[in-house]
Amino acid sequence: MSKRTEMINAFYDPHREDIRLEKSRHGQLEYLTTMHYIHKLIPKNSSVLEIGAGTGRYSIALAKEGHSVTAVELSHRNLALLQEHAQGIDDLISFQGDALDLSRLDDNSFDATLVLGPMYHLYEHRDQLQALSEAIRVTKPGGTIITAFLSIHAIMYNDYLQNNFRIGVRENFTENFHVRHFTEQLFTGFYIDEFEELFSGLPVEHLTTVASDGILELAEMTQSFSMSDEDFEIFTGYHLHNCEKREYLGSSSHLLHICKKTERKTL
Amino acid sequence: MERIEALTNYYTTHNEDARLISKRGMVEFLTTIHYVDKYLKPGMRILEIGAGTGRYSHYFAQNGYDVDAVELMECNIEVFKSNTKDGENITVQQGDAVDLQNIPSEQYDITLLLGPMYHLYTDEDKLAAMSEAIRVTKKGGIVFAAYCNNDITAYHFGFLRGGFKTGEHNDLINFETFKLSSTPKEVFALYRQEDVNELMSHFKTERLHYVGTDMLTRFIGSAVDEMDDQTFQLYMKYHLCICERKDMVGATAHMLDVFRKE
Repeated sequence: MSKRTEMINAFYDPHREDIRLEKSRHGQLEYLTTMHYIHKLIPKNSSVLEIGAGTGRYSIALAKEGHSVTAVELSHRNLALLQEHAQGIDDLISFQGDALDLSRLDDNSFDATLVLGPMYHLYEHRDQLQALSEAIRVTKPGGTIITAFLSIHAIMYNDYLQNNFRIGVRENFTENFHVRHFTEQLFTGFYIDEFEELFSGLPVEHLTTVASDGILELAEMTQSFSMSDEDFEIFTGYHLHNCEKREYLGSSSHLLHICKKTERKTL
Repeated sequence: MERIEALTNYYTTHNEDARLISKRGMVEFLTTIHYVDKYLKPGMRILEIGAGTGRYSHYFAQNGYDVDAVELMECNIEVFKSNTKDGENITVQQGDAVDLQNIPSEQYDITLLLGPMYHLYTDEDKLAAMSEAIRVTKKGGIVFAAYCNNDITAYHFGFLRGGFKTGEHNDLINFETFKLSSTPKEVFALYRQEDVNELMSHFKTERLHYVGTDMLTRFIGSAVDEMDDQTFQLYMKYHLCICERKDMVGATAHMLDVFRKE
């Protein structure tokens, strides 16, 4: 097992990823925003691949909505939970696998591909490109690819500003404030344009980049934070109104890069 | 006049002079100074419109520049005058940003408009103030205009002051556009970047910088206040590295638009 695989297994075992998206307001918003764009862009009854499916929150919801879903997950513990949750659901295939090597899957197989976790945990440029290339390879021409990533600034604001700011800066940036992607932090973040640039040589057409949860995670860490269900509903509408505006992307904890695989050129 | 009344009430009950002193308040001040310093050269003349108690005006006067200041509120002018130190080459007069009738055209290398846009509520007044600031600036001179952000203010109310629907500010939010009401009753007029762009589309200027002057400092204020000086210096270095990025500049309570008169 590689060092990365080991670390991810260790992290996700006790972490119970399946409750993360439910218990916090920013987790709920991230889920709603992601589902909003999935519903908007992926037609009913599509074949959907989820790479890094976690405990299956998205995969199971999409299978229930009538898509035929294939879920790939690296962590054994997450996969076991996914398979437990998926009992009795038709049209959901899952197996253990790494985003870097989807050789079990054929080229041009899926109408849509979701990569909603792997880019948080890939630290080397060549691994990042490899994961994106694999996701694109298995997607049909014209198919949609939705890739989640983290903003480096959200990591700084959420994890280091309250304390340890100097350590945060030293570890996350070079002298000129270029991002250092390093394994020990487990989660790695990007500048928005840095992440978009990863796709520049790949056969895709960029559709949009979306803030999935905005500054809600930061706000939620504030002592005086409160949000009723009614207010959460209002804020969800507010957030969807602003979430594609460029000036708000970098301060969002989680983001979605959305693109379409280039159609095959006819000769 | 409703605007003047509202502002008199606000500024006689708020300690404007103290607002920029805390570390969290310093972020906005230091960032603004950082951008003005990029363009200041010895011998330049500065006009500050809406100078408040003179925090910026006195700073530049103490650094050897000729500064003229205009301020609407008599109460602020009194404090402004008492803050004047020996050797400052500085004047202050009472006046309204929408009509600078005592100031001839094309006199200043640098014009600071750091407060008036917070307190002008109609398109007509906004256009008049911007037009006046540009008129008194020399051709090729630089104007610095500050604005308050609609969305970070709304989030602040919605997240930390009891909610969008149930909180003390619930009647201010338009639930279709998510814009907050901006009238003399609320004191502060609020903008999105698209609103600033729209306003500036009426003028012949060249934008040099569009900056978030305090970014999310409001949300992490106590953490910033508690930083030791060395950490705060590093925070400022980080802040100055992100505050002009197109993908970050929305996450700010205050914005600074820096442009050159053509």
